[in-house]
Amino acid sequence: MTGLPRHKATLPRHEATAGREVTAGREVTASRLVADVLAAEWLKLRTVRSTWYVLATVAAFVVLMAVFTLYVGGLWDGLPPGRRATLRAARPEQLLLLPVQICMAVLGVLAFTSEYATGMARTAFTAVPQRGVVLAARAAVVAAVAFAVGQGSGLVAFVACRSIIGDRPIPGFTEPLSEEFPGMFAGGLSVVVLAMVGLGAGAVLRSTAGAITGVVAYLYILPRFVTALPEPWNARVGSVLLEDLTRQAAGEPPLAVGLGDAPAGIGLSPVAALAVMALYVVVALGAAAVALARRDVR
Amino acid sequence: MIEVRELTKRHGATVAVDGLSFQVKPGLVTGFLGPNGAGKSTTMRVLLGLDAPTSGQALVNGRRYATMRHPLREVGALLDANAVHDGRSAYDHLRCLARSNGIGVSRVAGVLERVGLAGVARRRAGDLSLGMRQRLGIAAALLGDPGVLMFDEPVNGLDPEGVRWIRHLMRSLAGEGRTVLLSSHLMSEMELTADRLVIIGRGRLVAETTVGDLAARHDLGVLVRSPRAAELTGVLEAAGATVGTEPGGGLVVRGLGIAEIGDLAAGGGLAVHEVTPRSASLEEAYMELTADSAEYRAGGR
Repeated sequence: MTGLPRHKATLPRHEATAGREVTAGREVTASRLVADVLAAEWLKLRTVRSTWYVLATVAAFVVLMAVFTLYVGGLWDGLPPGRRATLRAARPEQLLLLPVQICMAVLGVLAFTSEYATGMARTAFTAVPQRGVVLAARAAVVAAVAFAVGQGSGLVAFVACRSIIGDRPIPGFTEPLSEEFPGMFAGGLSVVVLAMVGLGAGAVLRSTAGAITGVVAYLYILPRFVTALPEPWNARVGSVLLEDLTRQAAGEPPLAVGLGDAPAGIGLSPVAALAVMALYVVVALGAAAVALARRDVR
Repeated sequence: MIEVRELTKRHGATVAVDGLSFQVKPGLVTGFLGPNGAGKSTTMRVLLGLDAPTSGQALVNGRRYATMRHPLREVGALLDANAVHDGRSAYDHLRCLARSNGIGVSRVAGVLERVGLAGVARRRAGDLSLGMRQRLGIAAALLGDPGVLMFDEPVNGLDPEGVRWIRHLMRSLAGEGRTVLLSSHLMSEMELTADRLVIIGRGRLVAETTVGDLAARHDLGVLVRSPRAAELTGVLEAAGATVGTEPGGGLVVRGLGIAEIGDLAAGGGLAVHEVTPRSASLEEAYMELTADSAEYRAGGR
């Protein structure tokens, strides 16, 4: 039944064999594994074009905010002095938040779906079979980028737009950074939350289109329905959605309350709002962890 | 060393692998053969920790793959040449894999050189031909200088030069004392490359054998034609042979060599008009072994 192994004679004196026994025998500590996977995930994120396209899109929106501010400044200059006080314009940092949220949600979604779509997932999970470690490292890398982009884009837009407006006293363009900072910081955090929700949705749904649709529906469509709810439910439900969580984390009331569509007093404290934002991340990554652990890699 | 013990994998109602057990030993190329859908890829996916087994075990070097840290240093695998991110260059693809397993970046250039992709290392994987991606997958398998290698249909998409290269590579990897498992649905490929064979059909083990034994076991006997066939049959059967007839009127004799048959005929004074050994090709032997599962597939699906 068993044939003669043709190559057995060459086995003991081969260098490659001896060398391999050394590497196979060495211990890889858990911290070494995590450090290697973190470094690999960071490298993976940097070596695909989609990452740079997403970042370029964010940069383009920052430029667009500067153009918008130039337009607002020109508008102010063109008004007769008596009517200048009536000029109202949206704050560029606030306008910028939605596109940055979407861009980073897409980055989060692609972290998993681009690998499932191309088959890279099989290679990646063969290289690192500890799926939980892959999830944690990938989430950490995407969260770090989303944090930097969320805070950085807001800050750059703030500085650029203020220097364009100069000393023109246009409402929304004159408050000092110390006053604006809580709102901007909370906005930056909401970007991280969305990136993690996107990453979790991508890992669970394994489909780019499905996950992006889900995140956009949550971000744009759900709030429209919630606005239509009778008071006080518009504010109560709205207060746990991301847009209002961002406002509440900065110490503002939910939008419905702010607009007078709901009674005052409804809403979460900044700490509670931050806790709910953290809960979003925990639920998204928890669902991803369960899905990765239970299912076969496709 | 690869060990599969009583492995079963179900996908819903479909049984992909059904109580499969076999071993793959170092220093040899083991061919993993079976018709399409026999369960070869599923078995390899379970071995690599991508699929969880329904029951049974699949061990590499005595351990479950999923428990290995830096597994690329122990096991190299090519499951599917398309399992790369299209947008990443060949060089970056390997660099990412190397980094995740603590393998130095100098090794990347080395394996690219070995598989002949050094010239296209900066090209995006999506722009590589199937043959080139096959080589990229082999480069990834060799990255950690592993002692165990698994290749699923590695010659797909390769030109004749590439096919020859793969055969030579498999032989030299085994010659270095490594464990090599090579799947294919083509016996002709195995005939030239493999030492041992693990043949499966419908998820079950059909045969665990060597190329030489398979050929010997499927010896189809000796064709003998004689004007006095009936008398000759009696003489041969008396000498311990089993004698059948073939449609053309000839006798099919098993259990006796050509020389013995000739001597017995001469001894009985019986003329013979033809004595021809009928050995099946390995391809035929393989087809015969797996006929059941192939028919099941063709009729049942």
